[in-house]
Order: sequence, then structure tokens, then C-alpha cells
Amino acid sequence: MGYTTKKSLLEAIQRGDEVSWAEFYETYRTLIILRGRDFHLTGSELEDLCQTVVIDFFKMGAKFKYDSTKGRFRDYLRRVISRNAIDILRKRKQTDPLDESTELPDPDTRSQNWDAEWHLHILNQALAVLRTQIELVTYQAFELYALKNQPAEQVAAFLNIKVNMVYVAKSRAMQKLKPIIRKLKEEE
Amino acid sequence: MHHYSEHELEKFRAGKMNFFYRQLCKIHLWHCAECTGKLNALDEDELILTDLRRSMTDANENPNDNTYNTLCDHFSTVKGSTI
Repeated sequence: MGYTTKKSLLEAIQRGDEVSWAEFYETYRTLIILRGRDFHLTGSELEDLCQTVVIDFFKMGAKFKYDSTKGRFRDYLRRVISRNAIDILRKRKQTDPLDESTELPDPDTRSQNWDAEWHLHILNQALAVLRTQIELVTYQAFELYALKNQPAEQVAAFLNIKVNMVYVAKSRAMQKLKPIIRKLKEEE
Repeated sequence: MHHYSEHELEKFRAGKMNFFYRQLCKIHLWHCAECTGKLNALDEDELILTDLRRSMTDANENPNDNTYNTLCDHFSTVKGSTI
């Protein structure tokens, strides 16, 4: 699946265009998992959450069509994830009523966490868009040096480029990345 | 006046300039608002990069993902119409 699809997916959702479940899953899986952790879900429960959220969105068929007149997409998504997470916790509590980890974090904390999680989701999407806008070696140098904290000399040796080019790659990538992030936040 | 490029300031910031050039850069920064501004921008970039690193780490912490296959099975049996 192309990375341009991820960026244009939110635009398509907000326009009310039809969207496929696979695109939706790949785009929002990480966000669903991050949100699920707020509810202290286990690894297998997080997988269940991803499944139920996607199925919930698409339960009428294989296509999803969002109505923007009913509110922001991110708020709608949040409600769907939260509802499904609470269902999973209820099932867990039925199995083990004494399990204290089924107690929910307070709503204010959950709200703040959601804003942080959405922010991370935007950054993930921004990286996906960035990959399509710069040369592969530039992105690789940026990822290894700036994101994975590898020493510039090692990155240069690995990619067979000059050390200075590693710093240039970071600079170019950040120059492209910041407007991408701004644009994705404006589209929220 | 020589102004430092972004990637020269990146090297300064990363401690990768030799002692002599590092001192020259420091002296220049005392007097140059433009280059100090660029260095401050690099510090702000670091905040974005910290969040980006976290987003990558969080994304990779659920490696056992059979969800896609399960969803394939589910949707292959769904006869759909638009919501």
C-alpha cells in the first residue's frame, strides 16, 4: 500500500469519500493500540480491539463513508475505540471480577492521553508522507541518524555517503517534515 | 560575515566540530542573532524528533499481529453496502 494513500485517506474520509477497511486499518492501527493501552488492555486484547474497531466502522459493508456534519472524525474515532475497549474490559471482568486492572483511568486523563496519542498518530502519518517526498537515501540517512540516533559516521559508512550528507539529509528532511505536520494538523 | 549553515550548526550541536572550529562557532553565536536563531530552531526540531522517536517505538511494540489476517477473513464474507 502506497504511503500517499495514508495521507489522502484522512482527506478522503473528511470529504465523505468511500474508504476501504485495509487502508483504514493500516492507517489507524497504531492509534488504536496506543488508545487501548490507556485502558490497560493486554497484548491479545489490543489485537481484539483493532479487529472490533475496524469491524465496528465497517459493519454495514466493506466500505466506510464518514459524515463530517456529525462532528470531527477524530472525536468519532475516539468514541468507537473507547466503546470497544470498555466492552473488552467488561468481558475480562466477567471472567475475573476481582481483577483490579479493569478499573478505568479517569476521563480527564483519558482525554489528555487521547490528544497526545492523536499527536503521535499525526507524526506517524507525517513520516509516511515524508518518505514519498524525498530520495530514499536521504530518508534512510534521516531515519538512522535523527530517529534511531545512530552516529553520523556509521550512517555515512552504511549508506556510502559523506558524513556531511548525513547532516544535510536531516536538515532537508526536517524542512519538509514541519510543513507536512502543520498541514496534517490543519486537516484534523 | 560568515554565517553557519544548518548542517554546520548540526555538527556543532552534536559535538562533532573539532575544538578550534567549535570555539570559533561559539564566539560567532555570541554576536550573531541569525545563527543563534538557526541553532534554536534545531533545538525545537529536537522536540519534534523526540516525539517522532516515541511514535515509532510505540508503533512497534505489538509485534504479534494476526489481526490483518482475521480481518481479511471477516471482510471476505461480508456483502457490503455503503453506510
